[in-house]
Amino acid sequence: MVRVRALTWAGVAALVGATLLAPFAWMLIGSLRTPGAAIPVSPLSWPEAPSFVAYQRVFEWVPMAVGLANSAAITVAGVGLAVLAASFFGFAMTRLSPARQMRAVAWLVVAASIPLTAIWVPRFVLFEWLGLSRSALPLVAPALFGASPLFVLLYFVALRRLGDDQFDAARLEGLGLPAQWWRVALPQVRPTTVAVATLAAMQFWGAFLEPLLYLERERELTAPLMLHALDLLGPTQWAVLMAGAALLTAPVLLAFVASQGLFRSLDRSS
Amino acid sequence: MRRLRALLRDWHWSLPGFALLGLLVGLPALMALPLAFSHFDGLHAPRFAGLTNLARVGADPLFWTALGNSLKVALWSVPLRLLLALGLALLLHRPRRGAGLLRAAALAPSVTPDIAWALLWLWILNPLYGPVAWLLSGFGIAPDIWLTDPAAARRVLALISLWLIGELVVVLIAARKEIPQELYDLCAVEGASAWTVFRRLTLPMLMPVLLLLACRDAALSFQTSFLPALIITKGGPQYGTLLLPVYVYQNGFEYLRFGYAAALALAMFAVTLLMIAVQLFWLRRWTRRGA
Repeated sequence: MVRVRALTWAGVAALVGATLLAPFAWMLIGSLRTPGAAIPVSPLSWPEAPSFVAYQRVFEWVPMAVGLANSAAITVAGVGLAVLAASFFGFAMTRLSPARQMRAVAWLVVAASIPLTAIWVPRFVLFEWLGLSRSALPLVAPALFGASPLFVLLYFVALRRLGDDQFDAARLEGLGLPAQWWRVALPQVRPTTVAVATLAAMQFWGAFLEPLLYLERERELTAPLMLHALDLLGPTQWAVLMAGAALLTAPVLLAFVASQGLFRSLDRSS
Repeated sequence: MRRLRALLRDWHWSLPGFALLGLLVGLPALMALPLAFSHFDGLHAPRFAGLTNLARVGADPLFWTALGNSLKVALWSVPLRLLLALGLALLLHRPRRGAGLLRAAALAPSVTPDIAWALLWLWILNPLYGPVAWLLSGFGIAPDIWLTDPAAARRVLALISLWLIGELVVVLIAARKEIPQELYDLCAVEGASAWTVFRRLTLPMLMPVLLLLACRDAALSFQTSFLPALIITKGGPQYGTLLLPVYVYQNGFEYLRFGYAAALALAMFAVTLLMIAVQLFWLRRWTRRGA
């Protein structure tokens, strides 16, 4: 009976895993084909002579190295700011009275419910009026409030679990709220920081519309815009497009590693 | 002045966060209102337009087409996404061999950059060389219908979103772990079958979270389908995948009709609120009946 269960689990796990990861396998297979080579009989088969020529083409056709560097810079700045702001904001909320905490959570939920698509136009007009619309500043600006109301809520929930006693003791020892946040609270919520940093990194790394609206000069463009440029230059060059997509997706592998930690913390908390 | 001092005293360390949130989310949301009542192209000063833009939204057949398309895509994707996420969460909530890898695999598509995901699917769905066409041809199914038929193209957009359920799975795994193990032990003692345990215990306990996720997913469905609709189907064929956010984007940033785009965004916001209100109504009704 145990053996049958184990076999069933293995079969189901293999099927689910294959379905979830099939698009990534096709991306990799597609990117290793030589651009312009004869069309294979089966698009699912491993290329007869796998090569990295398509990856070379990506860097020849568009300044992808510049795009990757710009995306990395925006991601590092955005994630750093977002983690600091979201954790501080969340911690400050835990120091409010219970009634005010409820009101603060309600405001965050309202803010999280506003569809981004509904504020594209007014936000663009706002930055245009402020004279900041042709810079990377609007891309990083959301990090100032924690990048997403959801991240603030995640920190709020995690920090509230820590209780009041240790912060009351810290206050009696003369620590102000910023010192309590930095020295007592932040070190105790590392799994939340990993989760928020991972989600924020993907938000900043994969952003497409905001860079499209706000960035103009070629040396400022991000990797998603370079991939879009590749699509416009050679919409039928599948090997090159898949190589570009693979370059952009590589950081997902890092998210894989980080999410293992996130899920382990989920298991421990139960 | 006294009220300001009281506000600073009560909220002081949370105020910078709320001020920035207000400036970058609240203010643009409020700005949509005056913008919707003006003619503004970003080049000249805005001119007061009264109700012209809002009246035009009501009379614009493309707005109704876009609204209908968005609702149809949401109608396909939201229930299917929830169903799949629930299935995966129940499969993966227990830490066992390989579960960690599968959880990460469930999260991976959700964190893939949208543009890479859209282009990948453009390749996967290529009717001549793509993997799906090749697989279907093995069953004798003609491969070229899905991006040339409006209804099929909408279903393709819904299909693509089925992989993007990582966040839902994480939330549902957490919710499943909150159900006390003692209740399951009790069911085992009483000899309840797996189906009965699911129907009588797991599903009712997860229902509030499921309904809240349904509200959130319905609101976000307008957002998540934007890039695939822009990159893969480009709003076509025959406006079949012209979704509301695509129409807002075209009017705002391609035709520079900021005032009209803001009016469209307001309408989209109203539809989102209506969808959430309907689902909350069902949620309250369900919880009252449960009580």
